[in-house]
Amino acid sequence: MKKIAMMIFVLGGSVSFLFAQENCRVQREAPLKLMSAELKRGQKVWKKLNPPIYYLSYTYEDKTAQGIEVSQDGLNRYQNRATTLAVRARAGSPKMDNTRLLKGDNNRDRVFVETVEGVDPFAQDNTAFRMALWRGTQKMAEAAQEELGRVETDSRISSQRQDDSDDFVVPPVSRYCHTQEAVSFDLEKIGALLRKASALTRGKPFVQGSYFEFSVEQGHRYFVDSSGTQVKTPFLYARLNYDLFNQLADGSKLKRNKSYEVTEEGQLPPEEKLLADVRRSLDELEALTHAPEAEPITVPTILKNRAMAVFVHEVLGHRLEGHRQKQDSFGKTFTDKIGQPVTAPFVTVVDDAPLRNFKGVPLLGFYEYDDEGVKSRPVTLVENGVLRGFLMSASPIKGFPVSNGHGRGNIDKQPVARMGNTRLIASESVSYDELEKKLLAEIRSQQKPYGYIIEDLSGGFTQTATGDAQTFKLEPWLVYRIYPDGRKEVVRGADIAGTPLVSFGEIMAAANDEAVFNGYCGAESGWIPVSAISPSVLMHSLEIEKTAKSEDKPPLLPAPDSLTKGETK
Amino acid sequence: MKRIGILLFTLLSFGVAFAADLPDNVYFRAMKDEMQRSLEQLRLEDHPAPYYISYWLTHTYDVEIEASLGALVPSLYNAQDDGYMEATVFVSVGSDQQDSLGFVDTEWGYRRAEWGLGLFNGQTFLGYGTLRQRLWWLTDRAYLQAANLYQQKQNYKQKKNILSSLPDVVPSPSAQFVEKITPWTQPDIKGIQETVRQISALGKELPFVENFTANLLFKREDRYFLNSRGSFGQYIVPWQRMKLRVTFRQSDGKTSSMNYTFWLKDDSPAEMARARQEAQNLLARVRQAYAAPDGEAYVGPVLLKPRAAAAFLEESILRDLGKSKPLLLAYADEDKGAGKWYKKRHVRASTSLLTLYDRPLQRTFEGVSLARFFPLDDEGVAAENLTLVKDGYIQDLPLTQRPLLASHRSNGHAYIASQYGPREGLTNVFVEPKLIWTDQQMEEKLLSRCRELNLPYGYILHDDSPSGDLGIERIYTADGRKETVLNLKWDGNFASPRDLRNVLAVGGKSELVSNFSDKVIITPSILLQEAELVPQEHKPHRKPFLARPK
Repeated sequence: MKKIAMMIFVLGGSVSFLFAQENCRVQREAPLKLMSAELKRGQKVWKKLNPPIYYLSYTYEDKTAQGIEVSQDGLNRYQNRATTLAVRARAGSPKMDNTRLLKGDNNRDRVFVETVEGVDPFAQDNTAFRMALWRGTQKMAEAAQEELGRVETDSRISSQRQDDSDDFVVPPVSRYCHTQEAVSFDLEKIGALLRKASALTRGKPFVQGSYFEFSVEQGHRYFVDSSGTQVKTPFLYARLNYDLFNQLADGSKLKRNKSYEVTEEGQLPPEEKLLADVRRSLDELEALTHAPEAEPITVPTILKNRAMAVFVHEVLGHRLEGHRQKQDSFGKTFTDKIGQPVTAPFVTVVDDAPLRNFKGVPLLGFYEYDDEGVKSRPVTLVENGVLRGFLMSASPIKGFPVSNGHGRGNIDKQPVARMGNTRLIASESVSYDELEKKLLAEIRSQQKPYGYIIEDLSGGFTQTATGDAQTFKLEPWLVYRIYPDGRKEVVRGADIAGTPLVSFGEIMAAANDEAVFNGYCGAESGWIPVSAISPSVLMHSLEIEKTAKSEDKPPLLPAPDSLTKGETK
Repeated sequence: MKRIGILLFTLLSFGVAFAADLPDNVYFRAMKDEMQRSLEQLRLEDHPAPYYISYWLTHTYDVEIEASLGALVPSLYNAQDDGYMEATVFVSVGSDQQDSLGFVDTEWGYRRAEWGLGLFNGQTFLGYGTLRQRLWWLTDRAYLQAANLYQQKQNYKQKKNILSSLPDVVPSPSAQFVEKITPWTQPDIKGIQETVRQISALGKELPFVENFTANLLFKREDRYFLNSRGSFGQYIVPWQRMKLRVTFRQSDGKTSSMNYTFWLKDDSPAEMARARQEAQNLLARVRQAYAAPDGEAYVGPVLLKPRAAAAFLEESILRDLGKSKPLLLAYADEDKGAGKWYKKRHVRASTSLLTLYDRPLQRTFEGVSLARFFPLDDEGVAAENLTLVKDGYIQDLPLTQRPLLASHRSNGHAYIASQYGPREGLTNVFVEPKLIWTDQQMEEKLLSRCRELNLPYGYILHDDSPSGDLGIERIYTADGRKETVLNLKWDGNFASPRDLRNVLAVGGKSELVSNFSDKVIITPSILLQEAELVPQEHKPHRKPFLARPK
């Protein structure tokens, strides 16, 4: 199950961080030097083992996290540095190795990566780092040999694979070194801003809880492998966000949130803007508190830009990940549809991972090299409505023998093909107002009592396995019902559900208002930062269903924070 | 009528408590205001209102430094100035005669809320508003669960025809313990980092050591308690410990690991020197273990050094001694082990050589702070020191306000453990010998017993685990020579209550061997008349493909 979980808000301003430029030398980087030396030390030994360890890679991540959290006049600051070393080994040969997915097995009990936390190659004494490399490699080499045995047995006793491509294609050798000075943020100042924003929630009976946070994660990743690749790249994820919650007596959970992705302090929203946004979110939460509940129905719907971006990610993007075309337990919705139309002819979809920002908004899905040491590059997935390609890691599939730089995953997981910045481009578009007019016309044409505008959603998930329903679900937080006369009414408790081939074929028209959804996506290789970009889109028809409710009873007494000053003392 | 009387008493004591010397700080203001509001207004239709509420707020500051093989582990996570806050909220509904306590409706006992408990474990939110907000939420959740439990408990008692003449609670007088909370000052971080780094570097000296980690934790808990019976407390519990972890490869290729924890007074040079000495002692044992022989099956006397003695006592008596009154379980016929020692209080429990005390009011042992200093318990009752076992018989049992007899009186030993609401618990357990023996005399006693039995050697157990790779020494009867042996384990259960009567001697230097928030144990060595040790099966190990890096 895949899920995008966070939202982001469009922000103007310049972006100065992470301009890709090689500004250091791999030979001088301590982590790369130590990791390469350990690989070299065992070079002859690994190949002579039976079965041989034919490929090894090390990843080292050095991350500093800091932030400030404000909730009901309390404040918390944190700062920590975390380092992780990951060791991966492949036994056998590229044709068949230990990482092959077993038939009918989700590989949950298999070990592909050994991680060691807290080691520091920059320490005055690097013994601990070198020992960790040695121990980790030994452990993974043993595990890889053992796993290969399982794979060989499985291949003999299981049915023939539909796609018998190799398990691995050794990526081309890369050498790249990019260092970025740590970006500093004035947490005192930001904390004061968050407190001001938080104070707006006081005295509001419809706010059960609120949370305001600014967080920064930044550092570098280092990657080396046994074919000679040495890569160092920086990363920076900085975000100011807030959440406002309420729960109704019937268990309905209501939420308004907003986040602002930045790469430097100057990009944070000015005080007036943040406070105005919070006020608007409070108004929306209050409106939702009194809103009627949505009823299941199939009607014409506009997915506003960021909602549509999530739709593209969930409904199309996950199904175009390369490894899902290979494993027979996946639905392979699009595997055999290369060259065939899959959506409206004015729609093109690309995954542009090297794109750093879009209209001034930093993109979380940007990266220079993927987690297998392959340089990222834009990939056209759908061109003028016709399916053209897949997202590829170093696990080849029929017709796509090499990686296109989309092997991604958490440091403690085996990378698989994942999205970066997935973008829907409409070659024909109208203004958003015009799109709403088209929606009204469609409602009347279909003789529906109303249509929907999906303004904002929290995320969603899609099921791609044959054993599952192979459907998707999107979970909106803010939805408007729009009547044939143009009147709008906020409703609560509406989810969107459907199947990919039908739903993606429902696109009728697009607006010229592209926007970014920044979030985190969870799949078998862990949670990774991603972005999706899309204009608002009119769908001929979408199915709306009821949202799950909490079984917990809301609090009996009003929150102390919502009482008047005199009552709270 | 009685119910009205109880209510009046509660309100009266509540009012009196809040009018008294309640410390004037943000913690007590928030607790008092939310408690007052909840008692007055929190009410689920057709259910009894809360009649008892208690709040614990624990503000923890800590500094944790770790190093491995001469390099610091790069984490500043625990070096925060402002610490973090935990709240434990307990709510009971009904009345003293019949309340929601002492009943578990599901074996998933760890679900705190089922005991009417709430807890938040998070970062520091020091504002009054934040504390109120958190307490409001937790009190609400705890009340709903308590109301649910109350109903289930009544139904269960009716179904099982459980009748008792005893009330559910016999209230004790309120208690107060207040001391000044001084500002937290961090220890000398740089100095400690260097010490910890140097200690971890000692592991590099042994070629078969694959990792050696030293972890030093300085912690201080500022505790704030308030309940609706008028009890309140405010005090500090400091705590410092060093944890060493060594991983090494034995000469036959087998990889072994061992943790060794000890507690420190402070960060003074003398204490840091002691920490270094402990690390050297541990590595000396590793050196002995590297090429040590495997042990053979053995039946005979065994000397348990303090760590092993503590594990023995925990298994044989302490684990169940802390549960005086069985809980009412909806999912099982009995609360296993609970009430066992209450029933045995008139029969001989152990040899007369063993005396056990529980001392919640003791703050330190040889200058080291004890984690279970508890001036008032989790029901707000003044804690009392107890004599648990003397002259072979059970003397006192830890008691809460839940009565065992009509003449019941709590001795202030209610403890909210992670799984349950307040029930009986032990605090700082001290083992004291009847006769004063030195460590050497204890070994001589072991050897003499071995000679009586014509045994060529006896065994000394050091570890708190009965099958540790480093923890077993063979001592020869002929010359007192000692050697480490490997791959030997206790046969069957480590210890049972019957083994308490198997104690031949208690003595040697007392050590603080367990200093955790659930129990502290301070004990000397214990000599058992007879124990059975058997060899452990182990598979051959593959040697590393590559030699250890230089």
